[in-house]
Amino acid sequence: MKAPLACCGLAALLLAQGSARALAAPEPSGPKAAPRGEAASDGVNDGDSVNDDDDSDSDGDGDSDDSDGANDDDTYQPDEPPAPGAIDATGELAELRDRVSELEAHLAAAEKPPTAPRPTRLTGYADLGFFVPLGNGGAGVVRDAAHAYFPQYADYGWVFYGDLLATAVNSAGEVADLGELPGSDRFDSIDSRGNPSFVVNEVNLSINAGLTPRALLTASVNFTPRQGRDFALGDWLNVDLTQLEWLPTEDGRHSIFLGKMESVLGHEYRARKAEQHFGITPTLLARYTTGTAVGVKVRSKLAGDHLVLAAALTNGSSGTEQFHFHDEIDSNPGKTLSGRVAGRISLGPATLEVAASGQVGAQDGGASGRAYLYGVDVQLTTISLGLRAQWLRGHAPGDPEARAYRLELRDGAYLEASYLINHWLGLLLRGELRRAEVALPPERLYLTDSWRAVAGARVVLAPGLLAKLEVVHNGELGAAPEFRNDIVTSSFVVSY
Amino acid sequence: MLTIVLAACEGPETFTDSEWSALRALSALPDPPADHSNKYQGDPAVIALGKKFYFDPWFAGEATHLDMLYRRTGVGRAPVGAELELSCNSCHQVDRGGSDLSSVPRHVAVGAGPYDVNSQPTLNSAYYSLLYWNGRADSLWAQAVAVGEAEVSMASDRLKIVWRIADVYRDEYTAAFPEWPLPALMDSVAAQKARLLADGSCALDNGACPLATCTPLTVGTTTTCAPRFPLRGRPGYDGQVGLVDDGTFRGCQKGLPRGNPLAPPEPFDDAFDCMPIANQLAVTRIYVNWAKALAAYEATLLSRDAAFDRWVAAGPESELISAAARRGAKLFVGKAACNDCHNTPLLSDQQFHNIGVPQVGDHVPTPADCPAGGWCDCVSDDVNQPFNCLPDGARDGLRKLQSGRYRRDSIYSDDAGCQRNQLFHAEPGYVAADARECDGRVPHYAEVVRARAEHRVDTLAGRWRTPSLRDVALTPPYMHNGRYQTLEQVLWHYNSGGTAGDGTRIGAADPRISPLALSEADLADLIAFLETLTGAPLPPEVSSPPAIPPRSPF
Repeated sequence: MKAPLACCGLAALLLAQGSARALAAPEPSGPKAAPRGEAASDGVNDGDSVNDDDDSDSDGDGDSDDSDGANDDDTYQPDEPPAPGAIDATGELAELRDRVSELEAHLAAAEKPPTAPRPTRLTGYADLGFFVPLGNGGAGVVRDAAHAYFPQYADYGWVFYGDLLATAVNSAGEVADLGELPGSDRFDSIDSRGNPSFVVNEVNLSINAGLTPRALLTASVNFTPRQGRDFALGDWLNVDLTQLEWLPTEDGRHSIFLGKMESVLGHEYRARKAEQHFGITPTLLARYTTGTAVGVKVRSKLAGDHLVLAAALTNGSSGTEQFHFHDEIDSNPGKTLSGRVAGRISLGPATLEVAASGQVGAQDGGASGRAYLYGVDVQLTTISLGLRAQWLRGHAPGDPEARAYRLELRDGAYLEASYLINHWLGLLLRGELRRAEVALPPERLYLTDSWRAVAGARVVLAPGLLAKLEVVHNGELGAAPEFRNDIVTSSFVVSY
Repeated sequence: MLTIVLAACEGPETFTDSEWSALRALSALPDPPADHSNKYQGDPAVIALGKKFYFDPWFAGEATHLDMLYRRTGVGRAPVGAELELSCNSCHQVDRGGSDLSSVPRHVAVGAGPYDVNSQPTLNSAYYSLLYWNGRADSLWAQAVAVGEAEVSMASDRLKIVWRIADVYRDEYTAAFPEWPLPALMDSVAAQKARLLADGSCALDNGACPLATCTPLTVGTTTTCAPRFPLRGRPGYDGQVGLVDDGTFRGCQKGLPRGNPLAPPEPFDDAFDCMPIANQLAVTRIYVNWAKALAAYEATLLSRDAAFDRWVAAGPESELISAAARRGAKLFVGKAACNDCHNTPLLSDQQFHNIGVPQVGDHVPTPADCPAGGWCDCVSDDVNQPFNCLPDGARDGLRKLQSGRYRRDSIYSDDAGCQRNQLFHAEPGYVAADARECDGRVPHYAEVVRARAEHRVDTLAGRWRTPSLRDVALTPPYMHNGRYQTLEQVLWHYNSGGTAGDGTRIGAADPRISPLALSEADLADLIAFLETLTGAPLPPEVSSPPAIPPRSPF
């Protein structure tokens, strides 16, 4: 593997090939199909774009994709070590040249405008895990009994500190336990009650169907097996993506999406699925940025791809948090407008992307007041290193009569570093902060002033088989006392 | 990693750190706090005397069948006018958590007539900052002072009580309260009765008023010979009561109507108010000492060392309580959130909450009973107004406390520092700066003033003090008005969000009164837990009924 790495661009290509089934069976499906190899591992869900390489190569999730299947390539295999005395440098060099030529031809073909519809592909993954909650019964919050720590909120019946979603155990953000909170009877999908458990996090099936050379239908369905209770099935099925993408121009730099599609807020949505995500758990901000809303979206890359603009008009926000900040089917006439402006430059072997994004629209869940989110995000990526940061702030007015919660996201931020030590081993470190109030006055208030540290590792065990481990420590800031609600979680992702 | 996994796999986590911490905070009830307003608390001689007072049924007066609004009800523990033969223990049985198991019907307590609220246990009563469901007394002895003369409970009078002390407890009293001796003229009931005519006036001695034991009394144009210490009498209650109570001499008001036209005439023909002032003071002091002796005894009525306490001491894995009770304990500090109000080792936050219990039940006053301008109209928070705003809970109680005459800052208190600053205790600024004064009661004295200034006095309506849950399984009926007869009914109330059922609700319920989403199994577990809160039996020397002297011949 050393020799191909001599050329970074080519190395990236080669590495990407490892996991790029699209390249493995080269398809002239997009204007820049070859670089897409980086993100082809999200091919299961990469329905984000016919040319989602445009997105993904900028999103830097090359790190995940690269390692995802560095050797998962049936068109390129690293050379076997030569037998002693059998080295033929001239011959080997020639062979390598041939290969490079072949790949460059693939690249050139891929960069041409598509001439035929992309073939229909059925892909997916299974995400299996084992997690160990460390403290507080796996729950992320503690009730402030008798308003002992937050007397200033005595007007609320129940005040909870911590973060309800801090004890995520998988990429879907399911928590080890929602806790036994007074006055709520929520569906606690994991409900571990603080015990270690194996879990089938998700089984995903995705279909990518090229309708025309410039139109692609993508759908992604998650099957989540959970225990039923009281004679009710616990399993559920979630259609989390159903979009039609159309490229109106031949250069493929503009896309129009229609359907249930990925967000344009921040960048975490690009790697929200288990097989795309470098680590396991989503950030504390993912609940606001990774939801798939129903509507229409446009995206354009301008100025030589240095400027990327995206805007969406959707029924609701890009949230996933179940506090009525979003609805798939709109229950009010107000729509949500969101947009992102990103600048992207190359700094030697690295790519730097700086973006600002925001969202404004009617709060859903029966409320009609205006909700908004805005923030900035930065990412610096190289072939082996990814640095990402995001800051987000937001507000939703809530409506107690409709039992829609109020949100005051005062500050949410994270800084994440991911590093590929080699083609099979990667490490992750992330620090996070979330200061927020989620309230249904006068009944209840979730008061978060928390920080989180995440350390993780990922190993490519075999082509299409990825093992990840994360240790998550949650801590409290401000007046809330510390309580133990850490998580050790693992994930085994089998892609197909 | 393996270590973490193996450690975590050892067994299910029964209680989280925060749950166990919360449960520990509920256990091991310490000794009651010192009561600096009652220097006799802890005095063995006073306690022994107080115990006799507690069990003595001959201090009580006669049945009235009046309710708190002075309405004839036909309900009382004896026929109207008949001697009640009622002791403290009648409505506060020490062998049953100090609760009332004898009132019929079992909603409000019944003494001389029906009360407006359910009787509260006397066990652990020494821990409370404020007494009564509505907090209108700030010490146990102040509560006893009120109960002794209340026309719905003991319906006695301070002269009768003091005369009985003189009659049968003279030596014990003198030993216990040497600095407040009984008046020499109060020799015995029989002797005094022999000196008086049937109408209670003194028999003339050769046509002259015998000045040794009696005194000429002129009311209007009529002069009579009145005993210096009548056998019966208490201060009049016209809303502007006599000298002893507010320092303003109102004197005899024989025949004058009282503030409430429904109220009986001045008690005992205003005999007490017509006594010489020094004698009024002496009698009242002894009456207060009677109450302090009761309080000193009540401070020994402790419910502690419950199965719950022993279990907490042994640790969460201990099986000293049943598995159901342990699950209930988890719910108590978890999903049921009972410890939001039932906290501290007393299992009461001693605060006032509106939990949405409707004002319904036999003899439970409702706003419909209190028309505008009426006796229990709640329109005024003026402490000088006689309104008796019964259904309003803390709004009424704290207003009464504000004008209380037997507070810790009164002349009857033994807390000199608290007494000295009485004049400042209605000033919010002083209260804020000296909140710890008077054993921490000072903030309560100006609570209505403060609430009114902050335009939130209405929020006090419908609030009642959180009762302790120690011995709760022994102390039905439940809630301030005895609305519920069983713990199952109580839990149903909370689990349904307090909105089910009929009846008028006062004020806005606490936002925590919302459906709890507890299952039937959860409720059963909670009851199993509540049953572990029954304390160890009282020592016999505390609970065994003492020998009571025979009835005094009033």
